[in-house]
Amino acid sequence: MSTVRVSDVDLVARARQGDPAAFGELVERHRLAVYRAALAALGSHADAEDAAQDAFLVAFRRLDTFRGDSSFKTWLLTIAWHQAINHRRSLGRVWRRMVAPRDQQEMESVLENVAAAGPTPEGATAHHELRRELERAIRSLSPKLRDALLLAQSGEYSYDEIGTMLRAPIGTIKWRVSEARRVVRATLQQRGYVDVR
Amino acid sequence: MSDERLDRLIDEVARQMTHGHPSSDFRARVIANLDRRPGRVWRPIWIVAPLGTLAVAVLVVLVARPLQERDRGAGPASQPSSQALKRESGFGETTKAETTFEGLKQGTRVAPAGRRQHPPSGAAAEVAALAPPPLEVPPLGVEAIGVPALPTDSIAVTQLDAIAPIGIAPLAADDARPAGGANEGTIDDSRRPR
Repeated sequence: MSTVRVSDVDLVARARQGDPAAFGELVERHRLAVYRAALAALGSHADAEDAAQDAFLVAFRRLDTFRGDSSFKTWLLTIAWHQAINHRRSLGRVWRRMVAPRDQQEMESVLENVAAAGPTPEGATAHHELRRELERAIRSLSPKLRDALLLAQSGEYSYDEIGTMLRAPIGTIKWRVSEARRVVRATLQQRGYVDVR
Repeated sequence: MSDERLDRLIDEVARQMTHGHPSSDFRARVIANLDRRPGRVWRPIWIVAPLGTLAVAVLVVLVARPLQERDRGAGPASQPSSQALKRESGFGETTKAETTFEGLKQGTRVAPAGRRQHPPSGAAAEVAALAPPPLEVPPLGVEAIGVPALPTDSIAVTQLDAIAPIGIAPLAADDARPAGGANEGTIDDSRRPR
């Protein structure tokens, strides 16, 4: 079956009629957006994958409620964000965080790999340290500011989609992103990175 | 470092924090689970709550059983008086008060009806078991009050005098109206005030 030119709405119609391949195509098209939204909310690859999978299952069961008022992607992202927030609030995840902070190590290793090399070994080390401090500062942001910043910078969503996910006007989302940057800068200054200005 | 440059670095780190891909078998796992019953998210409260309820129920049974046995042990000594109390009070819900009624005789305080009443302690139950049987007081002989019969004769009422009719003579057609007043009629002179 060729589904290259089939729209999301057509795939939804087929999936409603019981075509699992059509829904599989929808999963393939949007899995990255759903997964990264969950990752922005949860900060953990394992939790993000669980939440993304749950989001697709919930969406499949609620296909009949999709009326086409918004795009399927926006509708799906709303479900995914809701699922991710539920995971974030769950007691089990907090417990796993306390027992095995593996994801923090994962993230740090990723940052090590992508750290931009400076002109000198000292410069590279300083740059790497600055990135780690930036990541800590972003993680310490309030959920509203952090969610807006991470979703906006993921490159997967428009401000319109972010506003729908976070249930806030676009202007509010933009302000949160700007405020998040300002707070991160201030945090770095408080931690002794006075030369960042 | 300028603010613009730092902001770019912040954005880059933020982008890196959301960078990642789901596993290669993600689609297959989702499709495989489509037929699964709507699975609820497991929450510890769903296990803890029933277990907690069960534990409380077991605890209540364990605590209540010795108390019932203790009450049953103190029962024979207090049973007659408790039944009498129940008859007199007219209420059928005096189980705890019944067991402590003997304590009342011994000078211990009994909670008033409607309040929570503590079960008797072991010492109180033993004292209640050793208490003498309740006093049997014969009923007081009360005779009926002697009241003389009331008179049932009818009351004699004297008949009133009948009212005599008043005779009114018609006026003559040419009779001149007296100057005394417009409404003055032909009233008998004997009834005119003097």
